[in-house]
Amino acid sequence: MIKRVFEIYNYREMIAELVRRDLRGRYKGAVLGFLWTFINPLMQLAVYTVVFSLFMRSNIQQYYIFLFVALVPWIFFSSSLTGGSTVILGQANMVNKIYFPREVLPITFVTSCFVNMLLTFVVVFGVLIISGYGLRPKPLLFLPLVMLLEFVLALGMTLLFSAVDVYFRDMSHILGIVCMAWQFLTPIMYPSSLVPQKYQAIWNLNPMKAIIETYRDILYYQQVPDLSGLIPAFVMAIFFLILGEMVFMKLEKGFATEL
Amino acid sequence: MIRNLPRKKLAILCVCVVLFVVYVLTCILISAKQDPYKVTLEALSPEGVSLAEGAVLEASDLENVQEEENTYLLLPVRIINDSNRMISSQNDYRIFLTCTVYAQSGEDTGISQELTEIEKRVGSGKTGTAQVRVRGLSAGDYRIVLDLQRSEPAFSYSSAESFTADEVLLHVD
Repeated sequence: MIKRVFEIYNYREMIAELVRRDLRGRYKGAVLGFLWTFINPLMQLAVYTVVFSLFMRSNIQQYYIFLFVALVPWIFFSSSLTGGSTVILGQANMVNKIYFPREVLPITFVTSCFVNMLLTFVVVFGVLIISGYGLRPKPLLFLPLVMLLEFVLALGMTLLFSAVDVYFRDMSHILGIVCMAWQFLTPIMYPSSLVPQKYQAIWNLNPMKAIIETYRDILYYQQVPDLSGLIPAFVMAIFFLILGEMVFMKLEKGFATEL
Repeated sequence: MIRNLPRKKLAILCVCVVLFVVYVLTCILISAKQDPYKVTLEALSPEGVSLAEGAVLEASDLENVQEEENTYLLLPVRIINDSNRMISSQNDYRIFLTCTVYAQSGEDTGISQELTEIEKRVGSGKTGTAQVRVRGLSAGDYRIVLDLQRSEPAFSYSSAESFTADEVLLHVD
């Protein structure tokens, strides 16, 4: 596996070029072009804010910030998972004609989504500053750490499901439904306090719960997060990364036959 | 394979690894060494003034609300946050205000409530208010203990923290 990691490292320029191509091509031909990177999350935010502030009357202060700082990292994670699961199938021609470590494809996809998230965070910071909420430097120090952790988790799961999807094409559809349910099981639109105490222990097994709460601690509560709460998420991220790569290496041998 | 790298690249790699390790350790240290909550809880009179020690509140002077079949007395409370983090029980299950009612004899009446009714976020260095709702007190004298607590999420390895409590003597006609 170590050799494989170095092999992938040798293809870093290919990864960078594919990421650039993906980002350029995302909204090519669209009138608003790259602005859709920002418009998409802003529109989702507007809809959720209207529903939960005006219709369902959440009593959370500045709900749009409460939601936004959680929604952006969630969009990165769920789009990595759902979109990344079909990336091998989607690039069947490339896989069949050129030799390269096949992991390059899911890595490229997740990295592209990650860069998208970073650009959206520019909007997040803008919203925080314009609304008067502001930013505190000490909690912000932890932002790269939680972003890295989320990236590792997303990459591990994408490696796993992208390999499985080649053999079991229903996987991408199942993941779509799972991600939809997972979104509601993660404290994105509501605070953790709504979950009854008796379910907290099981609920805490959701790695995205701790990650989203950390983003919220840093940006909404503006306090230094409790890193001990991230330990289960860290363990799961490493577990999925190793498992994802092992499964990928095993299943990769049959890609050419299946595609 | 690392040994086969040119010296310059190897040096850059080592520096990057060291910087990353230092960054992670710094984050861990900062997170572990956070200031304990320095929060003061004060019960207030109906006029919004801190109560003197030993002062007795009259239930008839307090506001009350009727909800379904229950009548609640509203005790105003001030929260002075001198810690370096925000206090918000509305959005954060880890912070909550408890109220325990003792009879004059010292016996716990069983009218204890776990509340999450801090009205607004109380930012670092700021003061906020809350209203403690107490239900079902018959005539007599009571000692009400208010306590701001922080529960720990499951799997957290931080030690539990507790806050300064305040007491209110209440007389109900």
